[in-house]
Amino acid sequence: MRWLAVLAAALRRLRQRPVRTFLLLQGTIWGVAVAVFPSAVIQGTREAARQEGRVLGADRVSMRADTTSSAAAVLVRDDLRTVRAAVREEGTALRGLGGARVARTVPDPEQPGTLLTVLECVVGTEVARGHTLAAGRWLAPADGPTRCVVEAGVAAWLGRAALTPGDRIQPAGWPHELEVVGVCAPRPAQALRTNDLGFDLEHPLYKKVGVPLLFAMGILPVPDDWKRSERCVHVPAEGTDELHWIFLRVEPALVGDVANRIRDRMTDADKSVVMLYPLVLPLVMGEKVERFDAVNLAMFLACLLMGAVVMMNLGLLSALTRAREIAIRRTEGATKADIALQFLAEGLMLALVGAGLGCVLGMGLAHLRASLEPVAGFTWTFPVREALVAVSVAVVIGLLASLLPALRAASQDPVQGLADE
Amino acid sequence: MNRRMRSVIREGLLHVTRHPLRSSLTAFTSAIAIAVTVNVISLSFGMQEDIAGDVDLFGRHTLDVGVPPALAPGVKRPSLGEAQVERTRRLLTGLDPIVVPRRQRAAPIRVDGIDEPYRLQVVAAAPAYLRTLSIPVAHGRWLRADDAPGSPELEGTCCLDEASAVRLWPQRDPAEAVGARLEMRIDGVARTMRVVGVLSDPLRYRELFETFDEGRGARTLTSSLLSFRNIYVPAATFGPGDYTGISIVLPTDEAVLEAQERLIAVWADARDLAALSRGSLIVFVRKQWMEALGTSTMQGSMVGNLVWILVVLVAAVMISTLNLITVRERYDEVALRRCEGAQRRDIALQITVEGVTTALIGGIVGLPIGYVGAHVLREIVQFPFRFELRYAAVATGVAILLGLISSVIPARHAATLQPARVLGRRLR
Repeated sequence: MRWLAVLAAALRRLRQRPVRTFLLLQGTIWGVAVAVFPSAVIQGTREAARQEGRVLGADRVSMRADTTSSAAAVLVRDDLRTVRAAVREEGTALRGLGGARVARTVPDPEQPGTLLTVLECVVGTEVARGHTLAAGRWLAPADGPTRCVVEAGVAAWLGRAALTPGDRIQPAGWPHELEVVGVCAPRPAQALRTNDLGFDLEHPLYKKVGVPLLFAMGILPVPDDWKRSERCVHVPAEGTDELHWIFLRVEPALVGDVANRIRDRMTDADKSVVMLYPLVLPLVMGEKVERFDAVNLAMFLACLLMGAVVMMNLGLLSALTRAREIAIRRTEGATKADIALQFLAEGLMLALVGAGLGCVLGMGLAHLRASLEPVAGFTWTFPVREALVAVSVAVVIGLLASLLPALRAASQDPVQGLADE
Repeated sequence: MNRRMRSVIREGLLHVTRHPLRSSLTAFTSAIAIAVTVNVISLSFGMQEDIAGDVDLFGRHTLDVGVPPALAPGVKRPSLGEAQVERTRRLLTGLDPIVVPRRQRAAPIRVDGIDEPYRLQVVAAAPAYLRTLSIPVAHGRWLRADDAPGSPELEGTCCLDEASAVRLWPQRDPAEAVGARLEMRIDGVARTMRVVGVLSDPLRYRELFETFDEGRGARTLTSSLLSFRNIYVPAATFGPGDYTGISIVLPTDEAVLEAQERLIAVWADARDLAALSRGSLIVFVRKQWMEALGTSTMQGSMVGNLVWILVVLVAAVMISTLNLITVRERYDEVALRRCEGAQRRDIALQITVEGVTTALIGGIVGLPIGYVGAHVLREIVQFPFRFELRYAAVATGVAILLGLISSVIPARHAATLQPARVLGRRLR
């Protein structure tokens, strides 16, 4: 009960001058905010990549021949074998592998620029591209050239309400009719605005920050609208060996490593290729990002130390200015320990309030940081463990900072304190 | 400075020493703020200046005409042969250009004593190609017109980027690569090449760059040229066939602008997606790329600058509040000094002198703390901190500013005090 009374008294004191308390708490607030905000972004983004990897394309690698190489710039079916071997070299599980040749693009006479794309695919391509099935089945090895699997937007492009397995379609210029055996589920909006490099094309900062950054990295824009059009018709690749694209899916954290391994193996096989994969998410998911931990820790401690020193200074000052109050309390029967306890309680309260506000500010910063990033899947979450550690450290440092003022207040002579007045 | 001024300043300095614990705690706050400032400035300014120096070496006066990095479905790869080289020369008539076509491909490279090959980019071009870079030859010599092209039967000649030499012979000094032999596999056939020269590495932060270079797999060979991990071989090494790029170097900035205009009128700007879709050759202006690199670095270091500004502001807010509380405690003193004839501005000056002195002392203590901190972080994070006296001067300026900012409100508060009211209340 006595403890509670002391704490309540301390809280009351802080509330007497809320603005001053708030200003003096800046060190603790910013220290805790700096400590929790990077973890919030990193953990949130990692979780998003893990849970929505397929939707965001975080688990996808696309490969095409490098047109700027003097070596023959053609991929063939045999290259799938090289890719599979390269992925499995380190025991990485393959979630899907496929390849396609863009056999035909059909412009919509009513909407110039809108294309229907016919892809000649090897078996498994739809899954490797990240599709899920809405109806029917995927293409199978036994399917002849008259079967197809369509993406969700094909029906609308053909002017039909819907396509179901068994329907027959014939894209303009295609030599024969195709029987629909499967219909892909519509992809979520986020997936349709995310490119192969993991950038959100409709993010307000994509053009201003994303494109120049990619240019600075030596990555030029690529015409690949068809991939996000939802208007692709997958037909079995018959009689053609050439592939324009090879797609595969692996664990999101590994896409960068896998892509570079495949590129090396393809080089050994005399083929120069370009690998497209989300650039930022693997960085966030990998261990390299933890190199920044030391910097964050330094910032955290610097802010917290500043806060502690200011708190100590304030404590010493109030031990002086409150000499009379302390003296009266002592004459009323309060022991030295009671006085010290009261100062410690005030320090504890200050640290707790500061740390709490710091967590709130940290989340605000995390939200701001995440919203400024034109990378799909960049988000934040509340990092429970890091927040607990930061708050605990802040409280311990706050208590240590109020130790000296508490001792000084307790050791004041009550007679002297009253005589001064 | 008149006597009165001197006495005001002395009074201010005396007050700093009168409360040593309090003053040193305030100074400590300022020390931490300055330490952080030193750290961040030596990271962001230093790195930015270094990178600005580096990119100059990439060829400020160089343009490239090349095959587009990707083709839209159904679009054919445009040809780039003698006709296009000739056309480029014609287009640039009068600008005094050096036009060097090149072929490039990636190839596995083996050297004695290493089982796993390294894949490096092989660039085949005439000796004038060196002119399109601004990089000095560090060891040995550059390629000459009479150097033997590599062929399956005949030993060829090659030059290496320093990073390639370090990659191939990690245990050796890059200078020792000169004279060494390597095996290059092209179209399944091995050729032996003798290294005659090593170019110096224009990327000062190569290790850092490569650690965080997530985009390397997504770069085309042409873009990878500027990672400077290449092997340069005589033009005839790859035999006939299309070129993959033409490097053009011009004598002046104006000529670069003019050339850029003339070339883009015929071919597409490398950043123009719509033009790429048409399957045109592309024009890549290295200066634009260098500017983009500069902007991105600046955006990066802006975050760093925000951090130290924030820390200094936080320190200023806290010290300011603390000073304000201290001033309240000194109402009597201030009132008495006013009665003695001190003017408002004397009081304000005294408080400001106290604030600036404390912050400056803290700042001077903070400099070495920041310096040591930067070195510790450099060891842990392997970030390239670079400390210079200039940065120390900036940090000292920041410390003075911090003192000034944190004294403004307390000084105003003390100066506007009514002596009669304070002392009257006291005497009652």
